[in-house]
Amino acid sequence: MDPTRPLAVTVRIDSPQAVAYRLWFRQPEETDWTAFATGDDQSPNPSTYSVGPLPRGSVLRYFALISGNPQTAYRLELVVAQGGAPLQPPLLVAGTTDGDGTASEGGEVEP
Amino acid sequence: MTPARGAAWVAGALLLAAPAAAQKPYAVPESPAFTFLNATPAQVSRPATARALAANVLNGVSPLTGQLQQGVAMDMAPWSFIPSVSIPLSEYQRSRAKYVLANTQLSLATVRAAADTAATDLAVGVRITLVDHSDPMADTGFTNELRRRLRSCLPDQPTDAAMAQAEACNREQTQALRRQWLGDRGHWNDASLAAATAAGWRFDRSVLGAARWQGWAAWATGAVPLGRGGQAIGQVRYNAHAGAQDDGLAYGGRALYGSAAMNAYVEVAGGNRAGETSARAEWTGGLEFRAADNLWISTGFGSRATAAGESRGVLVADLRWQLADGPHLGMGQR
Repeated sequence: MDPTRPLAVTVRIDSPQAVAYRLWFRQPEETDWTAFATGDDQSPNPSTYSVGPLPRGSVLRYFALISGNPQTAYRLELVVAQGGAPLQPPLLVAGTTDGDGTASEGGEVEP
Repeated sequence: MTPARGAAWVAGALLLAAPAAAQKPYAVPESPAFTFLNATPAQVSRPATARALAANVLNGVSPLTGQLQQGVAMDMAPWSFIPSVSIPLSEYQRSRAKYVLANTQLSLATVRAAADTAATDLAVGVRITLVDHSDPMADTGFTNELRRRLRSCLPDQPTDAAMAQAEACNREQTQALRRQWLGDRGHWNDASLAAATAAGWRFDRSVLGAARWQGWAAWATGAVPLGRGGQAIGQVRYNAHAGAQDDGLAYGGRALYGSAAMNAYVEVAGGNRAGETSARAEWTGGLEFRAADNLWISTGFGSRATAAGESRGVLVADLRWQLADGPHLGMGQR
């Protein structure tokens, strides 16, 4: 990661559920997270959000709420890129909604 | 029925608690492979990626002996294994082909064979929903409101406590909105059409190469609304198990009208099955009352065929578990 250039985080939703998500970053030495994007399945698909430049050691975090029919497959994809080139392989987030039709996914990415 | 026979029928009416299964229409199963094997697995794996599917399949075969493992149960959406296939909600709501693809479910199960504990029975099945107007996810009004509520549930900070709270909010809002859409807004009885089929094999000594054909079965169910408060359901099942007593055609129909707390119903069931002495249809009519959440008390009367092929009247007193979000039973569970 080049700390002088912004990052682009792309979120793609591939499955038939309502999805709302939020993206945060945290710089080294910070305790709180700063939200830089909030989107949902009605946002352009895929949606790309710009963040940074961020110093080395920064962390990105995502959290998505998913709601659809019970026991249905869901699939989201996150790509972190810089200067048009992905910094790592796409992050595939997949699973099955529970008996109520809900699921949530969250995690961290170190660019 | 002649008047004389009708009188005899009334006079001969039996006071008995009729088992629900005897009159239960033949609903399209959620997982046809499990139904084909008459299995109710305690744990069902639901792989959502090709990698997870491969892992599940490998787990179904013993690495030491190459034999099939008993007790495997899988339910899956085949579209999710193909990375190039994408069905976002907007396309689910716009494209019939993508709707059907998203609602096509494969199931696979293995169980210990009934007569031979060393043998394994395996079944695969597919279930297709062609139309389901009681699917809230196909309604843009429902999903717009659901999306708005989901956004309001998102946490400001991604802490464990805040995310757990957001998950609870998601569940609460989803349940409430779904209940409102199905019940209060009168969608519970909307039209639907689904079909399923399953086939099975027996593997002697559980060896992969020793498969014997065990037959197949197929189901179809259609439902249409009867005004705002009613629904008519037609169901057909064909069983072609190897030599089973219930092989053949079976059908069931059910019409009901009422509210979320009470309804009047008429059911008919019949068929042409190898193990039955009479092909005459049986029917039941009566009232159902909601006793508690998902539990209904059913009472009424009807006719049953005796072993001699005669019709006899029966009085029905029954408890039934509700499987759907409306005053109807056994249909359209989502």
